[in-house]
Amino acid sequence: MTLKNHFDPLKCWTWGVLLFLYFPIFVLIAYSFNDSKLNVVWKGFTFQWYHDLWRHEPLMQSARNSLWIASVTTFFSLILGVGSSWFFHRYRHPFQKGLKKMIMIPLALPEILLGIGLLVFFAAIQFPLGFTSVIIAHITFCLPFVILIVLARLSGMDPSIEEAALDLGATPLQAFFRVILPYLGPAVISSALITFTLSLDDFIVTYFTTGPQSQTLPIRIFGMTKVGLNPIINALSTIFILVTGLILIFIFWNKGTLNNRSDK
Amino acid sequence: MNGDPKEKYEMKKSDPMVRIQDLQKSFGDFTALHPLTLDIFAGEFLTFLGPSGCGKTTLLRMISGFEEPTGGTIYLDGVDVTSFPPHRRDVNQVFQSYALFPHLNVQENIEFGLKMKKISKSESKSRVEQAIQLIQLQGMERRKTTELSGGQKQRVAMARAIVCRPKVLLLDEPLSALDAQLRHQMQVELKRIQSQLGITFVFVTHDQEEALAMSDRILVMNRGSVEQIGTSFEIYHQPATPFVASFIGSSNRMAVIEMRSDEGKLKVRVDSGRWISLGKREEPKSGAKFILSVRPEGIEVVGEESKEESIEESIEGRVIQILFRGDQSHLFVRDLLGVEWRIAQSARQRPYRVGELIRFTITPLAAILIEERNKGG
Repeated sequence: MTLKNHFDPLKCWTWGVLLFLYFPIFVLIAYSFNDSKLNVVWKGFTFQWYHDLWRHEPLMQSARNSLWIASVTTFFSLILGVGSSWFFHRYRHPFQKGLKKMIMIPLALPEILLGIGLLVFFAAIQFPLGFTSVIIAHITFCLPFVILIVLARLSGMDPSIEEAALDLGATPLQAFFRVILPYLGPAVISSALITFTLSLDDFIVTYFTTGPQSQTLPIRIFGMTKVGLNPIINALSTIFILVTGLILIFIFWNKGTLNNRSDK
Repeated sequence: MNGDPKEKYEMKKSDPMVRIQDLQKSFGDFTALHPLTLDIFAGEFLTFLGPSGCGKTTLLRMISGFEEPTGGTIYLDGVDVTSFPPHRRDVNQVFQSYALFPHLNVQENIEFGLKMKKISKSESKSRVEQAIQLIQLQGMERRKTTELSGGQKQRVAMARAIVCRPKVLLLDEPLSALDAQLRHQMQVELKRIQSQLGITFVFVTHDQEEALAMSDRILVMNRGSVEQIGTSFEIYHQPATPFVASFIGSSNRMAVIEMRSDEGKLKVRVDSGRWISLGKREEPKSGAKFILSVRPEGIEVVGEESKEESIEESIEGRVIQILFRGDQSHLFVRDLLGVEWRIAQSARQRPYRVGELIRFTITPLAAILIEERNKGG
């Protein structure tokens, strides 16, 4: 293309959109290094807020809670998700299509409905609100993503692969763990990362299902902002953006290899 | 490995490697396989041949254990394996799609079966080396399977199956994904491997040329039942049913309306009204309907110059199309009664042109009478 010094409206449009998307985030990152209590004027560069954040016990505790919840959620979502995907893929039964759609409904449901529903449910069975209730809640909205991703990978699989394993003397269980699961590898990694980020980020569902001891980071931050913006939160958010960004980059990279590997 | 296949075949006739008894399979109302009884002998190369949907793959999959029969029994080396799951049967399959494990490299793929069977490390190592040598994949051990060509994948799939030393190797259209040249090469290769190992091969294909070239015996199937079982030679030269005659190679087929025998020479009148003499042979006894089948190479062009002393039986016709096939050409000739004939002409003969008038005769011995069976019979 020889449009180098040419005014290109499309290019400007693209830059405009990107600016619109990322400007608030850049401001946030910049102010996390601002040597001022106020978020309005730039006074100088500092690591002060990162230092304070490290010392801020309630926030650190919430961060630990969030990481724990996200890990456990990921673990169980994967087990349940991969298992049921295999079931959907492998066994034909009359309600297959209907069931498959039902699994996907929570994806489209407003989160607030899911949150209220879960709260009512836990109250009805008198389930104490705490870590377990939050984890159960997180699994319910993460599961469809896992199933969606794993099913997509399975649909591209040569069905003879499983038969070949059985034919070579593997029991059905061995065939699953030695052939099917390794084949699903990239899909499992992708869904683990997505589940982990979803759980880490979630506010609404957590808000309804959490107890005083199991406050997650988003809940704690929300609570803190009600009494004024603290630059510590800017620092914390910057770290969050960094972590989520890295995970996203990894997902895209993984997706690339996923496509390259599909040999059929 | 020892002696020619014919000899082994005679020797082992008493104790088949696979005995299939009244085996049948239906899916709902559809009968995929009518009751079938068959013995497969140790060391033989048996091919299931038929058009798609004839039940050949279903039959193979019942032997490997992936399909459960609706009735009947399968014995493998004397043991009733009908209810055994695939992983407990001493047979291995080469899949049409190769079904190599994408997360394992060539060597790991080949080792897989040995690991499952808990074969010792040293034994496994030597077996894999042997297989790689036999299959000529030296230097490829560390390659990913996605980096292999179709022919190489085919070899890995073969090696992966034969290292397990199966009693029977089942091959489900293993060559159909390869291009023609590679396919011919692999046919020779498969025969070599089979004679070196002495393993019983059961091969499924819809390609009659492939079946004729490789098999000791061929089982021709159509619509879930057996049409004929026999050696390649028998299948080609003595087709038992009209289907076999039409499916294997090409042939000129005519319905027989009348037969007459004089001085031991049999003459038949075919549907076009023409009398054709079949030389000295006995008249078939039954009052059944017959079809006369003549292979293109059973017809000889006598040339226009011999008109004078023209043989009484010669037929005149006009060339309407020529199919050049290299080693021979097929002439399509329409005779004066409007019947179309397919005539093989060896490459040495002088080429004819479309529109030319020629005379030809049927070699009496090449004409076969096939009894027309009632459908499903």
